[in-house]
Amino acid sequence: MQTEDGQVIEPYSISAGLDYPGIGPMHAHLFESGRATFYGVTDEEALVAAVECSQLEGIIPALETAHALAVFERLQAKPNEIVVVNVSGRGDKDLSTYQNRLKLND
Amino acid sequence: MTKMNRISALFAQATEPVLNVYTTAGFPRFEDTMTVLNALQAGGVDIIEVGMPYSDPVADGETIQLSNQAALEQGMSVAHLFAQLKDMRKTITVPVLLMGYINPVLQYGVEAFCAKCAEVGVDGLILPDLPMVEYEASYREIFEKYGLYNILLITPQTNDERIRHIDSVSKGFIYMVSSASTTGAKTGISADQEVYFSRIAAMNLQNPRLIGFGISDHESFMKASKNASGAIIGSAFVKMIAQAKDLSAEIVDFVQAIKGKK
Repeated sequence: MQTEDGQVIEPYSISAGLDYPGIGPMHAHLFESGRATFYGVTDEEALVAAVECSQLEGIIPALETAHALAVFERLQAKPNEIVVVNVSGRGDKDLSTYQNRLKLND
Repeated sequence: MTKMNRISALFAQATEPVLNVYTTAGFPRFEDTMTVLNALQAGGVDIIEVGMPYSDPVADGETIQLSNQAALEQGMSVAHLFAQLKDMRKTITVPVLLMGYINPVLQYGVEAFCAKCAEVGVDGLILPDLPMVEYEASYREIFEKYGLYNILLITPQTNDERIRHIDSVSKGFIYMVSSASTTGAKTGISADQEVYFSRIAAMNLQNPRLIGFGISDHESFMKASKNASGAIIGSAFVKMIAQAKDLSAEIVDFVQAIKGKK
């Protein structure tokens, strides 16, 4: 994430792992070559997906992973299609964020 | 026939230690760039390094980092810098290098950047985060096309084989980083550093060397110059101009004090 002049822009994400302005060369190449589609996901969408996964699967996903899970809404996958999700991490490390943002202690 | 690069001409003729001073473009104020360059030359500097402000100057310590930030806040950019340096060669005769980080250069377009450098009369570039292997594979031809020297760096940790390779692809001079740290004025040169300086001197490299990082006064300048062709001062200068009341006069005094001419 950079300005036209090439200065790095301060990023933001609810998740630590995504709160970073850089991207790895593989992802950059997938984008440049058109082999991948990239979706933007908001904090709220990620939180909703995290709760859904926890309740339906009994897996509390990491906040980073929750962003991937939030894409299902947009994918509109059909029942006979196979979707593979990289569940990149557990949500144990994010419990306090979940508690605060979902107001679970109120 | 192309004119000899000013950096090569300088070292061919130098009889005294060479003083290279680094200044951040657009610092202390956006419009100060050419004032600083003219005052540096008037004071007797041999080479000027103009820093292109960057958001993440990883090789730089606090003094230069803060100057980068201040310049960026005042709107400095690569395009603005080239505009400010447009008529540089009407007054400046000493070699001038641009120092910075590779991302703004990539965004500007490497060839476009080099062409602009040649147009305004920049003689060389120092890009600490441009890996030598990438320079050789992708950019060397472009730099050479525009007559720009790419100044490479060595540190106390660089092994002999790599130093010799750097020497073989270098032109102008080799930037000897005095210690494994970031830029920042230090309180003198240690015995360990003097050992490193003599070790490199004994390698009899083809290119002249200038020692940088941590040089701040006449004493450290002379110590560095015992085992190299001269030295580079950055943070100590930037610290001074940050506080200067009479920019030009204080710059002239500073340079003359370093050279021991005061």
